[in-house]
This record gives sequence, C-alpha cells and structure tokens, in this order.
Amino acid sequence: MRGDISGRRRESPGCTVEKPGSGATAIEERDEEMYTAGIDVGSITAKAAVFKDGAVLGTKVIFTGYSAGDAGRRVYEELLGELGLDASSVSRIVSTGYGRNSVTFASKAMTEIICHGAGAHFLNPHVRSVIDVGGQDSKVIILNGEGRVSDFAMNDKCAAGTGRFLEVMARALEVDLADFGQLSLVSDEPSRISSICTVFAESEVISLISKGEQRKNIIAGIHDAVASRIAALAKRTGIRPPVMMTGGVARNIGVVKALERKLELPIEVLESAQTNGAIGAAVIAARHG
Amino acid sequence: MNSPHLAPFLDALSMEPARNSVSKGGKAIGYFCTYTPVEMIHAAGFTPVRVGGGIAAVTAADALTPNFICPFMRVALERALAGEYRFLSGIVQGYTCDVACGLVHIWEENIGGEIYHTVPLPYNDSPAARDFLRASLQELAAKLKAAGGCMSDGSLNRSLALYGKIRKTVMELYELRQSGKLPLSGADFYRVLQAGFVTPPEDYLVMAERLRDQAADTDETDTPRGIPILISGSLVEVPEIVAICEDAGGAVVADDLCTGYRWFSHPEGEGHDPMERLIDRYMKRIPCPSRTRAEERIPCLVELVSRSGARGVVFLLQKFCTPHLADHPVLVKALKERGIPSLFFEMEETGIMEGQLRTRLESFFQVIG
Repeated sequence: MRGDISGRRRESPGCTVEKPGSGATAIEERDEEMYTAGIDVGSITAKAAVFKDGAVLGTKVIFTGYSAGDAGRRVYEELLGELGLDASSVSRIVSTGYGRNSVTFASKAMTEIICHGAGAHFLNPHVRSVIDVGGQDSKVIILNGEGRVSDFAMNDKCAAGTGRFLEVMARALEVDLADFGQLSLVSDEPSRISSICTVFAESEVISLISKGEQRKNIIAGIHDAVASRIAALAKRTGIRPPVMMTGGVARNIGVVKALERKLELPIEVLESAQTNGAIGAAVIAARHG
Repeated sequence: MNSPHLAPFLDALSMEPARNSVSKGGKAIGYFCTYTPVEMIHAAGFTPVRVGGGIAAVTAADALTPNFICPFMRVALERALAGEYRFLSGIVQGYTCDVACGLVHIWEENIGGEIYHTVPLPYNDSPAARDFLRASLQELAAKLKAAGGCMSDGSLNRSLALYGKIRKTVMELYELRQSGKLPLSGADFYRVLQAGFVTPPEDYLVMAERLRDQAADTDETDTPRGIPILISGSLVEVPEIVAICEDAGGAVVADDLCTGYRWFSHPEGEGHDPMERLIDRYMKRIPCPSRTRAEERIPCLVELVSRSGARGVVFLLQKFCTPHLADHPVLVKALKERGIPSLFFEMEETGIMEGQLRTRLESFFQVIG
C-alpha cells in the first residue's frame, strides 16, 4: 500500500518536520505502521531523521564529538524520545556519513553521496545537481531524471572549501560562525584571499586584520574563496540546474550567494539542508522496506 | 588462495633475495621506472632492482626534495637515506619524467655508489628514433662496462630470453586469474607482480612458473566477485589500496599500471640482433604518459576495458604526477564518450585516506552497479 505523500506535519518538540516533494511517489511503503530512520554521522555533527508514510516526521542534530558510534546512537535515541517513539517501531535504519560504519545497529550503511542524492530528490524531484558541503568534505552530485546519482566528485584531502575552513576563519576573526553569512552580505568590497590553503589563508586573514580591513569585507572574501573552490569542483563534474545545496555550510547565506555568482545559477537551500543526508538515508530505508 | 607458492613472492618483497645476490659477490643496480632497459643491466652481470616508495613519514628526504613532487620519489629517497638501498651500486634510469631523472642526481650526491646514469629516450617511433635509442643504449653499455659489467651479444640474448619468459608467464597469470583458475585477491595478485621487480629474474621466473603450473593444474575456478573494474595509473605500490577497492564492492580484473600490465605485456621485440630486439620491444611497449600524447593511450585503455569486461575505470594516481594528471581529463572524456564510467583518486605518501577512498568507491559501485 502506498503511504501518505501529502507531507502531513506533526508537531514535535525540538524536531523539524519536512514536507516532501512529489519525489516521494517513488517510495513504495511496505508497512504503513512501521517507521524508518536515517542516521548521518558527519565529522562535526550527527544527524537523524525518522520517516513514515512518505513524510519526514522529525530530524535532530547534535555534535559528533569523539565517538562516531556513540553520536549515532545518541542522536537517534534523542530523536525517538522527542517523537515519543519506541525503537521497536522502527523497521529499518540506514546509516551514512563518514561514521556510517560505526552505527552498528543500522540495517545498512550507504555513502553520503547516495543519501544526499536521495534526500534532495525526495524533497524536490526536479533537482539535477546537489552541492553538499559539510565539515570536512565538499561533494557535487549529479542526479538523473529518476533521482539516481549519475556522477559525483569529492574534494581531495584539503580543508579549503569545507565547513572546517569557515570554522578556522571564524576563530581568527572572533566572529560567531552563525553570523558569518549575514555579515558578508553587507560587504561592499570583499577582500581578496589569494591562498586556497586553510593554513595560509588563515595567515592572510590575520594579515588583513592587522591592516585594519573591515570584518565584513574579510568574511565576504573568505566566502568568495570557498565558493571558488566548490565552483571549480562543480564545473569539473558538469553541474546542471536546478541546483540544491545541502550540508551544514548551506546554512551560510554568504557562501550560497557567492556560489550562485560563481556558477551563475540559482541555488535552492531548504531548511533541512543540514539533515538532508539523514533524510535521504531514511527514504532509502523506506524504499528497501 | 592458500598457495604455498605465494609465500616466496611475499618473502621476496623484503628484497632479501636481491641482497643475498650482492652478499655472494654480485652487484645490484637500482632503477625507478620500466623504461630502464633492465635486460642490459642483467646482461652485464648485475641484478636490476626496482626502487620502491610506498607509504612512510618523509622527514630526511624533506630536506632534499620539495613536497610537491610525487610521493613515490619522496618515500623512495627516504628509504634510501635510511639505508634500505645500501646494497645497490647505483641507479640507472630511463629518461621519463623530470622528477625521476632529477632524483638520480640527488641520489648520487646523497647515497653514493659507482654507477649513475640516465638513458635518453626518443618520443616517437621512426628509423631515426631507433638509431637515437641505439646510441643511448651503447652509451649505457659503456657505463655498465666501466662499473665492471661485461655484456656480449650472447649475454644480452640470454637476458632478453629470460625477461621475455617472465613477461609471458605473468601474462599467463593474468589470463588464469581472469578465468578463475588463479583465485588470488587483487591485492595478492599485485604482490606477486611487485615481487617481480625486486627479485633476481632467474628466481622470479621459477616462482612465477610454479604459480602458473599450480593454477593451470587445478580444476576449480573462482572468479573475482564484485563489480569488475580496471585500475589505471602509474605505480600502485600499496596492495592495501587494491584490497580496499575489492572490499568496497569491486573486483580488480585489469590494469594499465607501470607496476603491472604495462611492464609485463609485449614480452619481446623483433629484430636481427639482440640490440635490435631490445630497441623494438621498448618502442612497441604500451607507452607511459611521459613518453606520448594522451590521445595515443586511449585505444589501449579502451581495449583493455573491453577485453577484461571491466564496467568502470578507477584512476589511482600519484599526487603531483604531472604526466598522468595532465592526461586524466582527456582519458575521462574518451571513456565517457564510450559509456565507460570512471573514478579518480590521488595517492599520498602519508597514508591511504581510507575513509575518503571508501566513500568514493562505494558510491561509484552503487552508481554503476
């Protein structure tokens, strides 16, 4: 029996409820009484999502900390608690993210590339490219018309163009990372950050600070540098519209706007950008009943 | 495969047999790449030993090399500075990439030894190019003689025959593995091949023939499981990378590596005298990107994919390897046009970056599976 695809919302304390796009029609629900879950353990945060009847019932984000396995269990249990669910009512769990294999109670582990593709397609089936920028990785994922991943590329071993880069820069500038995006939008003259290496870029930023450059301009310059790095990866992969950005860095409006300028394409960012991988994992769990 | 014949290959990787040949009064000469005419080194009475890199912390070599050259060369030098190659009498190197040739001089200044030489090579095949190569090889012969070597037409003939047999036997191992009669994991198969570069060739031929005969005699077949892939690149010196490829869901069924197929294919050349046959073999071998244009590598790569049944290509390239990295976009485009998917991964000296590699491989196999 096909589940409810209307995306009905349930109020849950501390949880976000996502409305699916028509991509949910691709999901064949095997048991309308059972829930599925996705757990995405990233380098900085662990995310969980619970899915039922073609809709995401809730999501949760916590810091990963030292143990990926513990973070996966904790975010899952906390989300179930907030939703008032018992673990026995969850029929299938798919884990993803760099810590996916540490989630030993998951039914299956899938890469974040596949899960971000599935999540984006579920939330907007028109999306053809996903830019996922997390704590230590940036990825560009190309989807075909059926929402399957047809190509992808990942950054190499380098923090430039990732969330970690922004964290380092926020520390150097003594600015709360949450304020980074808005601050950069009021810049009238972004600084030029010539280095693409996190370590050297930090030195460059410190040098700009000592010259008295305004924070907003430095931050805008940092966003331009990050966006350049991601745009190069996107162009190499053959990015095509519509484009959705996911991952924690998608919450930074400054990076999103800089990236739109570099790619000359509009970028869709949903509220669920950070939990998109976990949502995709839960969707895949439902698909495979 | 629990083969008693696998053990000698694993033992040989310690280079003990090569060291023993020196302790018995012989001389061993190192080389970096497969454009070095090892047949001549052997015919002159020396044991050719391919210098290896791998994964290691580069500290001493850091003072002698920039960190934007390939990890292979940096780790090789580090190992040499630590004394691992003290048994070598020097380095002979076919003139391929600039880094390899530059390292010959750094090696000579810092490690010592009695013979150091780079062999100039032509870029194309023509009568004039063959004359040029002949002159280069005659220069090498003189150097080998000065180092106490003694090469004659007869000894060169014997060395050509020996290396020809080794290559033919290894090509048979490739076929036996493809047919399932040599049920070695990809990692073990490449360990077998790797041993061929550091073992005295007479010993290696015996080992390879035993393994071939044992496999040919078996009635059991066990073809590699997983999505068949071809690995492309220069040196894949860490078999664990192949193990990760297979553990993530792939089955390595072919390669175009210079630590693999590119060295062992084209067993012998043709000609009226041994030098002509040697020249013919090196002119007709599958070229390295440092010796030819990317376009000329496409037919061979596509044919290998088609013949092996590989459903995708995984490029495992050394970081900062300019010749391979420059060819990569051209090869990817050619593969794409033929509907062959590919994945790219750069290898570093500091480690395998297993998490990233697994994520890419698992995704790749899910996409093409």
